[in-house]
Amino acid sequence: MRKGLFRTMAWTNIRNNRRFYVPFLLTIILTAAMFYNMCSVSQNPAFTGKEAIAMVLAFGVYVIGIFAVIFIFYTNSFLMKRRKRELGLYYILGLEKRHISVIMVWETLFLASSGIAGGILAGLLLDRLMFLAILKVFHYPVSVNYRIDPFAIRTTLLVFFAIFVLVMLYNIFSIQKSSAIELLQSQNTGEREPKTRWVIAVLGIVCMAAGYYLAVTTDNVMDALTKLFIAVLLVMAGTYCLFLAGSVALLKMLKKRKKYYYRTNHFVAVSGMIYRMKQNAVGLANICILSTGVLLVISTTVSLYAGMKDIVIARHPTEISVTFSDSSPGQNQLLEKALAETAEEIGVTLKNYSSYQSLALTFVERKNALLADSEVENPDAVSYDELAAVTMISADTYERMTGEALKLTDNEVAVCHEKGKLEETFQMMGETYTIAENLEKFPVSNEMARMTSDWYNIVVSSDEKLAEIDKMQKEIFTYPSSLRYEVQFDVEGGEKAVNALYDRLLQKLDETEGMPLYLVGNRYEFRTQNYLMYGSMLFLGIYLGSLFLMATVLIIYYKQIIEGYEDRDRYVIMRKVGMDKREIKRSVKSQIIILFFLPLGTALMHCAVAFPLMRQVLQAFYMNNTLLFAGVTVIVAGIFSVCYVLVYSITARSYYHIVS
Amino acid sequence: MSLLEVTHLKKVYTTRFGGNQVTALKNVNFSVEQGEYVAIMGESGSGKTTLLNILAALDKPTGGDVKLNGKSLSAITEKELSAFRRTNLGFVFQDFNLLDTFSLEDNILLPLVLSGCNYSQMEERLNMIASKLAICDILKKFPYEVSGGQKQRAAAARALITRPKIVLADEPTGALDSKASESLLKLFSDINADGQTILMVTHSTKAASYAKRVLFIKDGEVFHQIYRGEMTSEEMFEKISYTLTILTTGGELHA
Repeated sequence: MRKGLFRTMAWTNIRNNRRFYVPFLLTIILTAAMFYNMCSVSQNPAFTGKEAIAMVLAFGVYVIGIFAVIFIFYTNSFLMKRRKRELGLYYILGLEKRHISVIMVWETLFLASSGIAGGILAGLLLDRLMFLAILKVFHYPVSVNYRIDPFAIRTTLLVFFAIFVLVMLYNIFSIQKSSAIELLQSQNTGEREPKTRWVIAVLGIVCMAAGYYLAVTTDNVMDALTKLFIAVLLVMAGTYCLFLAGSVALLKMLKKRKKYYYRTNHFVAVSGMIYRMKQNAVGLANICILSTGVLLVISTTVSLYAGMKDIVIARHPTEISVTFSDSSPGQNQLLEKALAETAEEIGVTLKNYSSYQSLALTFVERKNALLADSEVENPDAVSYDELAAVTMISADTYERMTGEALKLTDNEVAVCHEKGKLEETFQMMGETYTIAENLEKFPVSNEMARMTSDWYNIVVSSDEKLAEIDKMQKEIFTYPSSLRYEVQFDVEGGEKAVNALYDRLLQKLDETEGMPLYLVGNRYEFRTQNYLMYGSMLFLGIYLGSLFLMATVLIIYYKQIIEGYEDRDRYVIMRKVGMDKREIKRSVKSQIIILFFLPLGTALMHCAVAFPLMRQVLQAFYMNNTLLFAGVTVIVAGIFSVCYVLVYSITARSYYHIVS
Repeated sequence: MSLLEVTHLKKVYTTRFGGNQVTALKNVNFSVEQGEYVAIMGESGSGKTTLLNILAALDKPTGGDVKLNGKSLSAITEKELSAFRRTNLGFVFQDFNLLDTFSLEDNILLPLVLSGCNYSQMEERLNMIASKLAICDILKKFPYEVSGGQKQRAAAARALITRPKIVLADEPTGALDSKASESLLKLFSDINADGQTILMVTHSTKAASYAKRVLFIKDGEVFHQIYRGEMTSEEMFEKISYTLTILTTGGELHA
């Protein structure tokens, strides 16, 4: 009988507070469904053997798991804060703490069972859709078979059950700890005006400025990758500090300016905002950082995915390329022979054929000289800004590829570069060279150029000179490079012909004796791999992005409602004192708008500042199309903003409903 | 002409689904002259609060009229209402109704800020009122930092700062201890002596005994009134107690 009573009480509690519990339950269902899906997809036998994908997807499972813990706890604390008063009342009415604990257990049981069951059910329904979507973005040809994954179900049950046990223990513990009076008054405590914390405010400004400075000034890819991490940490710290202390400091400064403060539209807004910021700073900073993360992750992964064509062309200008390292002319001839034979066997013709020998080196550029790593005193301390990527070919190769003859004597060179600092006469590995000619175009691509701030494409006088330089660099460099012989060509007959030729050529080279170190590139295979790699990143990006968006939505919703209840009394008083309904509505609106659009605005600003840095990072992945990246970023930001505004307007309605 | 004229005031509440009708005020008539200090007494449910809400223009009567300074409240449009309330009426409430997010100073200045006064004028008025009510040293504090008596003084200062034609007080001593009550009532007498018109709703005999005139409301009508004349507070107190006894026992009164 008594047990039944507590169960009924728990059920009534949930029903009476459904304004709070329904969104919470929906969140649990969605999070559990997403967890199940990610788990089941990562376990799908279609991906066995694809380590990279399995890893990315498994990473996704962990992220969602951790996120679920944080998020359910966060929401629970919202709910508990509101409920303490009612629990205190039970206590006064004669329920013992252990009875209240029993009610809590029942409540958790109701919530957890319906949430987890609903989540797994939704997960099962969505599973097929998810898998189809994945195959679509991966360009991965596999038949879809619908399956129920018992492992994923078990994991989901276990993880979420554990989370709820923790939540329940936490709730019971916090009730055991507090007295009845505390429970009853918990909602009326702590309306103190916050103090201005100047140190934190200043720290916030410094962190933010430093992070922004890093993002804007970095101008080479290697630096970008390392500095990205530091910049992210700095900006995160700066965001928290500024939201926490900076906002209050600013508002208090406004309050001190009496002429400004004591004006009808500033008075209520400024003092109201001080309290709102005090209560919401952390939540708002969370929203801001989540939003920034969503925007950056989605815009970069979408750009990588959308720019795949460009990336593939940049990496593989021709359909097939063969690279020999430090090969002899005899070996080069063997390659050409093997190639001609293979083409004949398969019955395809080659086109756009070109072959050349080149030497690619990375130098430290100092005082008009190109230095090898061993020539610098402390090579580990060299900054990436000092590096120059150099690609060299001979005048003969140049003439063969472009049809243009260059007359160069022994130490004369022709140079093609964009922004290098070398003067007409310069040093390279101790020897002096003179620039005889500046070239507009260069027939060979400079692979390392996108990683360093300076780059030079150099034509030296002869093949012998190139061999001489190669010999020299092998002696001087601690990590020497090799002279490369490269053959590039397209194949008549498209992808099928290319793949057939590629397979046969590999076989042939493998069979041939006395081959040097070689590398065969196939544009289509590269493309397939990239689709898998960037596809799984895109998938994860969008998946986590929508998860974060959901979190943002829920935080906004709860904030609105709680604000609403707190503000109601305040506006009743203001009305009595002589503030009119329209003024109240206007003042509420402006505060709420500032409050909820501050994180979005800041997130957009972060993204704008991060843009140059992210562009560099993308270049590390051969994605050079800045315009595409800009376009994608703008579209992603636009869609995100629309979602945000939508959520705002829906929740704002329930807020006004409470206030008026 | 009287400052406040209430004629044939009637207020009927209809329950939410239109089933029952409750008559809060049946037919209330009275007037208040400039400089008067009037207390309205009655039991719970007698319609005191309804009457005050209508006088404060927070609620609309079902019938009858209220005129302030010859101007009918029903003639004021919704838009002008707040401004009218700000400039003509001052309010003191039982539960103070101070905003906890404002310091006492800002709470007091609130009506002036809403009217768009300039700051030097506000400061001048604030200093005057604060010294009169002896709250100068707590102006910078927040409502949760001061006692109930101090809160009510601040609320009174907020009511007075606009120099209203009439101060409406709703159970101003209801949440105060006897000492704080007495000092607040003395304060009311003082400001009344300076010429401020006060209308106070209360069911504390003690509070009413400070007024110059006491109106009794029963069943939605003015049932009786007592003029203070030359009576002392003690005599007034006795007379009010006597009237209340009659009122509750339901006897007829012939004054």
